[in-house]
Amino acid sequence: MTADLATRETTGAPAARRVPTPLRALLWVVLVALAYLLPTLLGGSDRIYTTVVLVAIFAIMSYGVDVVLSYLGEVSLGHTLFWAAGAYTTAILAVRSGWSPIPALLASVVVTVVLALLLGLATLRTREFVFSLVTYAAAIIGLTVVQNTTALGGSDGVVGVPLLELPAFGGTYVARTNAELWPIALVCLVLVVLLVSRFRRSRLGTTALMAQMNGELSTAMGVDVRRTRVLVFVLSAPITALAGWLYAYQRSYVSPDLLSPTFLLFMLTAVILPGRRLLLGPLVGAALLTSQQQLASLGGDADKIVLGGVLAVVLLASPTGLVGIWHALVRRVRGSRR
Amino acid sequence: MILAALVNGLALGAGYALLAVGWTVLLGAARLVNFAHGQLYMIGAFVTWFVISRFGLPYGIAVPVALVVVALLGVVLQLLMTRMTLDQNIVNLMLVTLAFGYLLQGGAALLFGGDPQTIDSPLQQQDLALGAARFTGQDVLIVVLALAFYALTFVVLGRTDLGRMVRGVAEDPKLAQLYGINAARVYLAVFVFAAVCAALAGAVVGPRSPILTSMGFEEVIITFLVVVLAGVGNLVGGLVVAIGLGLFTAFFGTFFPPAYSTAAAFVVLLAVLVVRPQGLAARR
Amino acid sequence: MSALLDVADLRVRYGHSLAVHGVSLRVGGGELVAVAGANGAGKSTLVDAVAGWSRGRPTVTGSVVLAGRDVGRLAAHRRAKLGLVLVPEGKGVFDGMTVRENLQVVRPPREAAGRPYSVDDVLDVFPRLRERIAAHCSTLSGGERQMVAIGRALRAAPRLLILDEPSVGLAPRLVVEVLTHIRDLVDDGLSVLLVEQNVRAALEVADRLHLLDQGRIVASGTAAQMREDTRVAQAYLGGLGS
Ligand SMILES: Nc1ncnc2c1ncn2[C@@H]1O[C@H](COP(=O)(O)OP(=O)(O)OP(=O)(O)O)[C@@H](O)[C@H]1O
Ligand SMILES: [Mg+2]
Repeated sequence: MTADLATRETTGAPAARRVPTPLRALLWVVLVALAYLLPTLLGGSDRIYTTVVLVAIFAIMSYGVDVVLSYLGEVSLGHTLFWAAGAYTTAILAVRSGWSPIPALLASVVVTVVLALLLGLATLRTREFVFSLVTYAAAIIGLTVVQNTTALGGSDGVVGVPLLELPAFGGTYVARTNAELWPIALVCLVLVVLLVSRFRRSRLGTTALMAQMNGELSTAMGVDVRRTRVLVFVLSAPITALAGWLYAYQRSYVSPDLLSPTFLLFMLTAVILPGRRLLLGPLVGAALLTSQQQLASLGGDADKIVLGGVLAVVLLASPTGLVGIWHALVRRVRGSRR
Repeated sequence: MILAALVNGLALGAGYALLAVGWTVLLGAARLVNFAHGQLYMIGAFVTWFVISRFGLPYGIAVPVALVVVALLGVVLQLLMTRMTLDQNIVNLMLVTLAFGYLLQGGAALLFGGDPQTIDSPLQQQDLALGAARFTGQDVLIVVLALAFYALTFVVLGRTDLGRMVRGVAEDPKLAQLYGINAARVYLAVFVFAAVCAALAGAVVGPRSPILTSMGFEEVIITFLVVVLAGVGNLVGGLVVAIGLGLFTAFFGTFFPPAYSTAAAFVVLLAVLVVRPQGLAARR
Repeated sequence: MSALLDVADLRVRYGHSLAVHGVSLRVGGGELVAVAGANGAGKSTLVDAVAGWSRGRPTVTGSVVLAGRDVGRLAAHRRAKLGLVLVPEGKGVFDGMTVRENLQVVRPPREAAGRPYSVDDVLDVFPRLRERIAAHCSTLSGGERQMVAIGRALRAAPRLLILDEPSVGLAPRLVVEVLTHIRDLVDDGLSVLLVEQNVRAALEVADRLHLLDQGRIVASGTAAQMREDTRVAQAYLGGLGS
């Protein structure tokens, strides 16, 4: 059991393990700086800035699912609910009550934590797939409820979300364009990656992994699997809500499509396509999928086929994702050399 | 009005029952979850519509065609998933069927267009009345088919070799192999049966209201409400809960905005899960 | 002499650890061959691999030939249909079914390889099951379940019956009873490969015995020879009587 954990750990971050800590920190700083300059390096057009901002937002959105799917090994099909809850709370408070971004974010977090607690506790004593079914139902039913509730804007949603304004040194920073939104989105992304990397090393993270790999054994070892499930689920919800908060400002409106299965499929594919349990996996997955949709779109229904097709093919051909294919290739090359 | 709601609820519930019977067997007997179930329902309805409107064939021929098409689709899907199924990898099964459903939805939208369509069934024009309650021949067909399929499933599972094989595979697919049972083939049979049930539900419930290629998500939810509320794998419970859910929806719809009826049923489910996680009708 | 079952150089590994290191053995028609060895010696791994079955994910190499036909690549259910029938260690019946259903769910293959047993024939072999025929297997005693497991194996018209520790958990008197039943079946023409921890009991009924240690056969011989073998005597027959 412990040996298994150890090997997985090392395969998770093979290079980083050997690099000394100060150097590694430096490496990360360089990486973030490069990411910051990436849109400029790519030409700095509006389209590029839109794409990178969306990559950051969708990556954050996917990290919420990643925490549950990769580390807990459970399938939450309800994260669109948290995504929409974050965006809707923000939009409604900002448009109707004139709340500024930071209080709106805090309110979004509170709302999603309550929702996640409700779902998590209701499924506390059920079998594993019932959790998925209930979360899925919550998301789909959320869609009909939002569409039919005028207080939530009905099928039109809530429009006219003001610009994202944050207090900054000597005044406020106003994000008028995607280029101006990019630094904020990047900071959020970096914070989420740091949070997830902390989570991976935390007690909760390792407990979740143990519960996933051998539920019965870890129960015998005194791990409360159900409690772990609820905790991880509740932790994951605000991550996705943060993305919803950003998205409300980026798009300047929210509508029921946030709850559509499109975003659900996106999150799941972003995690599974690169390979589960990789720190930067959801970011890579979100980048690949967003680039396709922004820069090489085939039209709505065909994009659906692409998204569904990618997810199905990965699961059927290489459930460990692109990393699995990579490992298999490396093994083959090494094998033929011998 | 009460009587009208009662009759309407019965027809609705029978439709739910037809939709859920395949899933009950799939989940209870084979421990498989299929999130594309609702899309198979949608395809069942759309192929029926397509055969009628494009080829001018009667409803009575269109329905069997739709069943065959969806059965073949079911064969393809299950053959793709055979490895995953034999490994009982529930997580990946859920994910891959979700992807299939999404693919089917995109494909259907490209193929059949995004407009709402109506299925022309002669039975839908046949108005019947029972006192103050009005209903159609289509409603009668739904109820009859639902009862027939439950009876058939009950007998097959309980009394036949096929049923014993399904139950054996459900209990222990590895051990079943030692009994000489080809577990992959049993899974295929069960999956195709569930697909055909969903398609039949789509083909007979479809004429009651306009159909859209985007439908199917609510249908999965209703199916699983039935299956989980009844207690996984409980066939008789499934029928009772499905009819109950139909009545609930009909009565809810007469007093509140109908759009919230599934949401209300879902709240009931959450409450039930807290009190009785194993479902309402489960013995233990 | 061409044997009914001919296993050559069978190797089984779980991940990186080799559990069976190149075992070869034969079972002739109407013969009872026993395999004995300590816990973890690889007995179950060996016979499971012969049947093409496992609860884990082993990789198997080597050849398994049944009556001249190479069955080494066939799935377990195909081998069962050809008459290579395994009663595994531990859980060997469907708990959710009655005794009768467990016996009914097995259909003898069309080109029945061995002697076909009807449900009644099985009940003649194990009369104790007659009164429990409608009981759910979850309510049976360990010995009764073992009888159902062997009974359902007989229903498949086996040419070669593999029994993995059929006497485990049974009272000493029942061990003798079950093994005697098995010997009777062999005398009727069935071939049996029997895994048995209790070497003394195995030697009572077996024609030949292989001793397995750490995945290798370390001693083999006829029952008479093995009774005389000092290693066997020291390791298994000394002191520990049953
Ligand atoms: N599914 C599995 N995965 C990994 N290793 C296994 C598995 N099954 C058995 N082994 C290992 O293979 C070796 C042989 O096990 P096996 O069950 O064949 O022994 P055995 O001789 O049948 O023992 P016993 O008398 O206790 O039944 C043991 O070291 C065991 O730990
Ligand atoms: Mg053993």
